[in-house]
Amino acid sequence: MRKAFVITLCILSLAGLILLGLYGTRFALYLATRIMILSIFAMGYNILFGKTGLLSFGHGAFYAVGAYGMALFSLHINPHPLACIVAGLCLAFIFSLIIGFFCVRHTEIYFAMLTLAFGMMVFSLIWNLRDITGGDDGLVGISRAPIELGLFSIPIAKANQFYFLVVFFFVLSIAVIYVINNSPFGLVLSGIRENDRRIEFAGLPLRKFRLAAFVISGVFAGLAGSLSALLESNTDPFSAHWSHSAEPILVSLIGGIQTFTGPLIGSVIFVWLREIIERFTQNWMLWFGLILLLIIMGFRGGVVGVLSRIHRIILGSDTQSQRIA
Amino acid sequence: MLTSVVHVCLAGLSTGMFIWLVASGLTLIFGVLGVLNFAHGSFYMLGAYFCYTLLRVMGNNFWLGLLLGPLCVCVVGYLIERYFLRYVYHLALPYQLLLTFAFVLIFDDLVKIVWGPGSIGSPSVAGLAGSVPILGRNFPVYNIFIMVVGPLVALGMWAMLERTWWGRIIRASSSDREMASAIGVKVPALFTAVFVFGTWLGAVGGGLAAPYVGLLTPGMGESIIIDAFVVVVIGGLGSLKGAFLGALIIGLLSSFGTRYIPTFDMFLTFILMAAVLLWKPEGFFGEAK
Amino acid sequence: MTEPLMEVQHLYKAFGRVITAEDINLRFHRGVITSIIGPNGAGKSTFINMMTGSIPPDSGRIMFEGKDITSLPIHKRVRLGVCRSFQVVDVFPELTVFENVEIPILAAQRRAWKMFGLVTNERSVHEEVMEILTKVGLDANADLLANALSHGDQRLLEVAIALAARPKLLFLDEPTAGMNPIERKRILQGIRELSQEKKTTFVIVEHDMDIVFALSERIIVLHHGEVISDGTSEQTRTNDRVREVYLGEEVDL
Repeated sequence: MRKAFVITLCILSLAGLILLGLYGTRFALYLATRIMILSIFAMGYNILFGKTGLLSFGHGAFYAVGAYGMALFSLHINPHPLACIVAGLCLAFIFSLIIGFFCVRHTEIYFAMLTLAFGMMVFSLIWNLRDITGGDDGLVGISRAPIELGLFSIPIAKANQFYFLVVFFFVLSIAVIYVINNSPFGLVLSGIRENDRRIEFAGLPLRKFRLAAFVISGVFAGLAGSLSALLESNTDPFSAHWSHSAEPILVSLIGGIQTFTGPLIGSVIFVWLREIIERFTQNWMLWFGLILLLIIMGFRGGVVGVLSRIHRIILGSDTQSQRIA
Repeated sequence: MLTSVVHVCLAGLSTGMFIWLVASGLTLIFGVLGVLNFAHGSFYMLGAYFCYTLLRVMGNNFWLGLLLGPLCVCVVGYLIERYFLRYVYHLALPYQLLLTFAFVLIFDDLVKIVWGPGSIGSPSVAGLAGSVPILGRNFPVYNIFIMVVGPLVALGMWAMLERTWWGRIIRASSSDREMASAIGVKVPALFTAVFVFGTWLGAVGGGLAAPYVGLLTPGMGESIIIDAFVVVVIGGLGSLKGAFLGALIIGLLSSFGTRYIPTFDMFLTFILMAAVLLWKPEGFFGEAK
Repeated sequence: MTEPLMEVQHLYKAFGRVITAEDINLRFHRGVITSIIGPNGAGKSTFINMMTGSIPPDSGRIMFEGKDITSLPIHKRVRLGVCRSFQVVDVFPELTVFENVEIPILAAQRRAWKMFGLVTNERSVHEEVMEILTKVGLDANADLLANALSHGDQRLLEVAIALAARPKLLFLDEPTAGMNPIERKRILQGIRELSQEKKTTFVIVEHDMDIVFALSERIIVLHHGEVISDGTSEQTRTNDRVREVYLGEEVDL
């Protein structure tokens, strides 16, 4: 019954995404694309944050590394979009592996500060190495060349064409992250969040698992970054700034930290709410700050937490649905 | 050559003392309450803006503004600790950080609403304007003033913490919260007091910063808070002595960096921060845990 | 005599001026239930911590099945077969009882790195989990969150997690603290049965002397980091040093 419901919901959502791609306005497509990119960033980040319990202020750097890696490959080597994305992912992988190697030696506030330091190192390099990165202007003029696949080629230049490329990566990311979350490896990560010392006494190398979670989330950040570079056709040095790393945290918090769908729903709300608020007032940050305050003081389960609480009250069921959601 | 080095040193020392003024409150709050307060940058910003407004209202009297402005910010700090922060001490780290981050967002926009989104030029301080020649090159008098105030604040805090009854209570509570409450210290009230005092330090830093930086901008808290974080981390989270030394190091490093290797100036700061965290996370004066 | 399971040679450890291990030489043999007792501050906790890898000794060697494990990290010792339980309950609070036991079994069956595949499909892991939960009597509570268990059941879970790592040598740090008599009986019975299976050798640190004398085949008494007595219950009861050390404490030997 429950399984059937979830499958129906997935099919309906996918159908909705496809319909939106076919009939949506340019603006709607742009917003939906941004939501999906942010979701990939946030869901990947949440493997480290919600699942493993580590708060990083450095994942903006991997997002940026993905974007710049993609852009540099496109501008200097080959504009094939898939090759460029793979290049961005590889660079994000290398950076997160090296930075993660150092960062996972600590936890809690020391971990947060270490990731902040390394993230800002990347930011300062992007900012100052003008010859390579374009400095404060970023890299501009990234083209959306058609995807050549031997016999045929898929154009992605138009907004609705590119939209479907992002849908592809979005669905793929959801599937992969879902499987990782519910794999044996994912259970170990939950164990690290709950009690890291006990993980060692279970016979598991704690740091290696932390590093793996760090790198996986770093690679998803890189994927989000390289897609955003394609969307905007330029790169933004501030995407490496620590304040950009706060975005997936906020998104996860809005949606619900320890849930699978939380970051996804949070991204929809985040982008959408911002559009609405900015239509009426200049002061998006003020309102967002107030919402954040409200969530932290009263609704720490986020939207998904609140919904599942309502769901349980209505059905009167005693299952722990918030864990499955 | 010598002149240039001396001047770079002087600039570094004044930058260092300037960051110290902000970092002192931050590290005090972290040491006692265990909360790393992003909103400290906001207190700095509010301090600058309040001082500026009061200065305008009271006929350009900088000192009166500096006396009253931070007191207004203290009220803000009191409300935040008493009605918000107090309820998240028991929660996980992300909630504490994000709560203070929420206030950063709120105050940034509030400042834009009240004072306008653009920058405001800060008036110079009568008696401390202009510059004096040192080794044949001019050096701003106000920077010398900052270099005097910084150590005075440090000395004052040291005297308060080491030599007074209040200081003993604060030190006792920060090392063992339960023991302190067992011997009759009202820990929640003490935390509020320390937070308000830390707020005051941040706001005074802001008030003094206005003439130093020359401009008031709504985002001014965010750039300083990261510098202050670096300093607090290098000093060993929560150590005042360490933060003072850390501020000097960061000040000198950035002024030499800007002068000789501008491309890697910011990079150096953060590499130092990472190095300290990796190899001596307890800071220069901290004790290993 | 066969090769000992674990052998400790000239172990020495001091914290500042407090010596918590003074030239300890011990051998643990397979299948012998051993208790370590001693007054507070005798160095029992430090001893377990050194055996299982939380604290490095200042000098001396720890051999396990002929291998030098003195400087191995915790998880490698666990893999070789040296594990422990904790005195204060130290489980995974927000995971289910089942998942709590599942984690060490994933490690033991070398499935923990599997990322692409659902954990619900791990049949052989599930069987082993239920086997262990049945052994300690928690099978009915498998789907509860660990922090929803009673204190006594959490203690049982604590031991179950340690057992799940398939240890050859298991240090139990006050396994019955805070248990009611029924639970206590159950866990003692469990330890006896498991010990008879000969897969796991138990070394128990305990305060409750009734348990120590009822259960152990060998008793080691520590005092100020020194082994002052090592033998059967009868030998321990009649040992003069032991009587001296415990004199004044309300312990009826």
